[in-house]
Amino acid sequence: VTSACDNLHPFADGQLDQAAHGHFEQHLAECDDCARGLTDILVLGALADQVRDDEARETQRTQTREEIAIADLPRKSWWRRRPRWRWHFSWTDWRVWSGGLGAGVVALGLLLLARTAGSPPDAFLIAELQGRPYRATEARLAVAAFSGYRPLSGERGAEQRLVDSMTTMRQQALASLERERRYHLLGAVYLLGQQYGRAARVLSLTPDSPEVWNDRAVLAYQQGQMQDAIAHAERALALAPGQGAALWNRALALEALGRYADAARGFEDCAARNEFGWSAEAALRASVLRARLSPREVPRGPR
Amino acid sequence: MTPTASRNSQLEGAEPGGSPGVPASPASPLEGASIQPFDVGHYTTELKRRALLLTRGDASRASDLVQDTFERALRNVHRLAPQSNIRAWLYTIMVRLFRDTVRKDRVRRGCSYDDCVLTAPEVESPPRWSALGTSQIRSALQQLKPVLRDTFERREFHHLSYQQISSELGVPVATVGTRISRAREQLREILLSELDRVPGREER
Repeated sequence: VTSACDNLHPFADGQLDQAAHGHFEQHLAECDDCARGLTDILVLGALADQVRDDEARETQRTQTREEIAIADLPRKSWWRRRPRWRWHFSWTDWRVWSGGLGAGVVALGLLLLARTAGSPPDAFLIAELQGRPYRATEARLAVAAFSGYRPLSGERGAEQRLVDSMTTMRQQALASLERERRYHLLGAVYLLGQQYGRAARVLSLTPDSPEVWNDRAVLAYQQGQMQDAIAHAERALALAPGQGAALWNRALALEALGRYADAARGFEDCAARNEFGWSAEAALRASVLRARLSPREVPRGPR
Repeated sequence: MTPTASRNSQLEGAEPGGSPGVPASPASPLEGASIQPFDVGHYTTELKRRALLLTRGDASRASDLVQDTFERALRNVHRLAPQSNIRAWLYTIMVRLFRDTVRKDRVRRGCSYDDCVLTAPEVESPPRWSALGTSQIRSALQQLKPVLRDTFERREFHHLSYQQISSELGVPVATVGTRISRAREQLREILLSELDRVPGREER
């Protein structure tokens, strides 16, 4: 073990400066101990990823169970009430009439509550979309159901499978969202399913808010309209300065326009917000953009 | 690890009629082998993140490294033992390929061949403790000192840089580096001793 071997962990974590990194690469090519050590470090990282994924999946499952339980709650309480007024049934008793009227009012109230709180098909649809361990788009939605962090899927066809699953079995749930005028959530669902025309229609029906302007920016970004995406994200930022999702989407659009320095600054702003997952990915994106801006020190030969 | 269910980009064990991911041919090394399915796309993001650290943010080098890793993994998938940890195996391949790349660059720059011996293209096995389950890894993490575990989790779970961890914990950057390397060494030792307690596991 030499003093060069001391740099193994900072090298594996990308913490060395350019010169030290290059020196360690050369050392690594010769040192079998460091090669084994590097493998161990990466494999330990892989096992940690595995533990983190399992915990995230378990948390997601618990949340989904809680959401479905909440959606079912009014219906359960209605069934529990039914035996009581059956027990007192008598046509001649005035209390039956008043009780029946009261039960009708309560049932109507519960029905309205169930419609506004989210019916089970919606809960299942949202649970299915939220249950994916990876997100299908680089952009970041602000609607509450989908604003949590999930790593970006590198998998080809992830979006296509989402579209397929939506078009085959979720029409009832989508119709229910539309009937209940939950246009923002519906727009996000259409957006995730790449049904951009429908997403634009329902998002235009939604009252303006920072979150809605952000999701309109995502829609523009997904359609390749980068100037519109920037304009919409800036509308969101004007209403809610420092909104993480809007900062993110503006930076993405700037990157797509080739304005790497502005995009890197945008991602650095996102990274500074210390939001779980998003900050780490933003820092990584910013560092990649910064690396792209600086000239390469070591020219690469042809592959 | 539970393999993902059948998907477009999924590579599955060859069956007599062929598999969805790999066209069946008599010469296929997959034919007749007992192979666990794995989903290439599922691991791309993680591998790319690690490759970017190894190449210090060089996106094109990192992409090449990840692509070469998958290519070699797919060529050698028939060697993958059942119940192997695919993530660990992919990282083992990636480190080997990274070293190969550095050596090849040296040859291009005019270094003599003897000084820059190219490695043979075989695939090494991952560390034997990588086959342990999530619960054992979680238990190993619990055995670390809280200060080491906290620093390790900030680095590996939340992907914070040494600088960020240092400012969050209020300790020097060098201390963060020391804690992370100690945590890794102790985890490795704990997992090795755990492996010795598990019956039926053999030395690599």
